[in-house]
Amino acid sequence: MPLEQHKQVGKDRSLPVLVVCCLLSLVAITVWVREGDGGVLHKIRSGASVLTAPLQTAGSFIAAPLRGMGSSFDNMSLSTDDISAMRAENERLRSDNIRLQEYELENEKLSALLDISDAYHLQSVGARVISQGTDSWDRSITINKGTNDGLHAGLPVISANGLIGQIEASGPTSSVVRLIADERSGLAVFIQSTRAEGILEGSPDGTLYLRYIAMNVDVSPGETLITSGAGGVYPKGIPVGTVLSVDFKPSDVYKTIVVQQLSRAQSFEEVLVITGSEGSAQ
Amino acid sequence: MNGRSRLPAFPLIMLLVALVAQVALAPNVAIGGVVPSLMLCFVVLNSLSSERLPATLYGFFAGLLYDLVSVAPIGPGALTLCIVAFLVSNIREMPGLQFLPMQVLAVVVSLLVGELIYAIVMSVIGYELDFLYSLLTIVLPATVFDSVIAVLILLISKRRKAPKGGTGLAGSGSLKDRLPPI
Repeated sequence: MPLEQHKQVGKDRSLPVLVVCCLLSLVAITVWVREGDGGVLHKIRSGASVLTAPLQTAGSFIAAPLRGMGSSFDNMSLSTDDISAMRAENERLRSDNIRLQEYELENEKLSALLDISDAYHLQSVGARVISQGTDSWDRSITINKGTNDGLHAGLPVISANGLIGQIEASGPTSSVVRLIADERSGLAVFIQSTRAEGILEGSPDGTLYLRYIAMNVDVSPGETLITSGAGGVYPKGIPVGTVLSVDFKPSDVYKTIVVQQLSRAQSFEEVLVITGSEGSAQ
Repeated sequence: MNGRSRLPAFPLIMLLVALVAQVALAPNVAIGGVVPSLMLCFVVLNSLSSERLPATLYGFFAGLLYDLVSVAPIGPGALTLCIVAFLVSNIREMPGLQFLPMQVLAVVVSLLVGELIYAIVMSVIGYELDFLYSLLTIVLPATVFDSVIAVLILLISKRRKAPKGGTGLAGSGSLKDRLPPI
């Protein structure tokens, strides 16, 4: 037995193996960062997403009751005051909705008169969310439409409440959508009231920050952010979120603005992928 | 030897089970955006019952698969899990680890270390982390979530092994004897 132990100690190659594994991991990270979307590792991941899509669909179906439980945990933090406030807000939103429908009708008439074609006539493909992200650090969802339905990387994705994110990778039957709350997301937005433009960025913990708003711009909590259309990825005018808090110090160049997303990742099941505008198709 | 000859592929099967569960189930049981890392749970539990070399290799391949099914860059998971596997397999014969509370403590600390290493790796490769905030909102909740799952699996595996002359959950014998062998 001692001889066996001695042999084991003598032949212990775990440390060199660990070093090799670490080096391989670092090489993989480097290649991933440098190769771009068409690289080998990206293609391998696309292949993996084809294999995992059926599992995600099955898991989503099987775990529907568990998902409800997760939402219940989230909602446990709501107090009676919160629920009352939400009910009041719901009533207000209903009245706003009726008023906005009137505005929409009026806008349609004016648009027709002025021959304005960019009144959110967007071509879109409906899709169902089959999975949320598989780890805590990335904000993403998987939808059940892919290249077979004409989707490809870069297309914007919206829900009934507003912008969600952008397709990061598409397989034949599924696509991974990077949410705007993801750390690697960034998009140009307006503050609706002042038209001040900034960059909305996500973070690993899912908090949204509005960057590059100068100190002399008045911003207050509750103000709505909409996409500016700059960059050409997202159409102009899609609601994104509301200002949650504004913070700054005298020495700062820009204000620190935290934004609350209109669409919570846990709350949507169906989404629309914007494939173009009706105007561009004609 | 007996266990090895009977179930040589057991960790491989468990790795695939963990992978399928990570892809299909874990996202659906997320609480507040915190997704349990079943692959990390697998690596920690497997490493507590494995030699250093196979544990490290299983850690590396588990991490690689974890990276492939996520949307994060490929590599951080592999790097993290092979380091965790190596560290855990080094402490598995530490005095006192035959007792259940120590085993639970070892699992929880290992999971915390794993989540911390992953956070550090993500930070190094370019994720802008407010470290304290991330610690409180991601690392610690994820560790608690992982710990609940891993300890449950640990208890189940011990209960399955207990009738062979053991004295229940806190019976004698090393964890190596009590967890499924490779």
